Amino acid sequence: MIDHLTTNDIVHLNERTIRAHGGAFAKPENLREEKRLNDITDEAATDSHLRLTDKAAFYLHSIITQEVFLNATERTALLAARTFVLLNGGVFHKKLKVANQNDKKIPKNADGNQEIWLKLVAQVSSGDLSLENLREWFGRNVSS
Amino acid sequence: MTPRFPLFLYFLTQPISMPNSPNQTDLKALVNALNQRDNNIKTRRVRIDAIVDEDFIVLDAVYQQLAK
Repeated sequence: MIDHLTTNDIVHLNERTIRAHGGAFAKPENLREEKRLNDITDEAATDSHLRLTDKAAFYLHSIITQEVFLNATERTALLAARTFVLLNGGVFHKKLKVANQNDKKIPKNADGNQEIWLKLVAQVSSGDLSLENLREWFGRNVSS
Repeated sequence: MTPRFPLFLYFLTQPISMPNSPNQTDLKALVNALNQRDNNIKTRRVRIDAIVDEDFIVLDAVYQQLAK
């Protein structure tokens, strides 16, 4: 059974990265609007996102595109997707790869693990990567 | 239903919950279940924090870069 992240979990992740890497946490939850995050955690638990990797892609994509937090949204989205995979026994491949979908590179112009993570986040933020693109990437880079 | 006699008499006629009555047993079971749930939540949060601690080491440069 998949252990989905709750709204409280994701707020906790936001607080953790702000404490570790800087920024301001606006109490009580640093959220722009609680409903946005509740809707995300509800939808992640539905059958619209069946595989572990589909759900991880959804956490990363939706937290960023819906600008859930007042601060540190991108970091939190990355941390949520990774924590969700690892919490459920998934393993990221040691050497991450750029994926291909309909001749599109996911992410583009990236080489090496760190750059791939940074470009994934940046290209979701800029609208260059869709949820489908992220599903493809997580599917290619995670063993579950 | 509203009692038609004085209130203190109404309470006197109601069954008193004894230490081993079914009500008491149900309450203990509920308390145990809530404690168990609380422990499960704490254990899960410890697991999440351990994953986060390790991730902050593995991807330190990425998180630092995103924080700029």
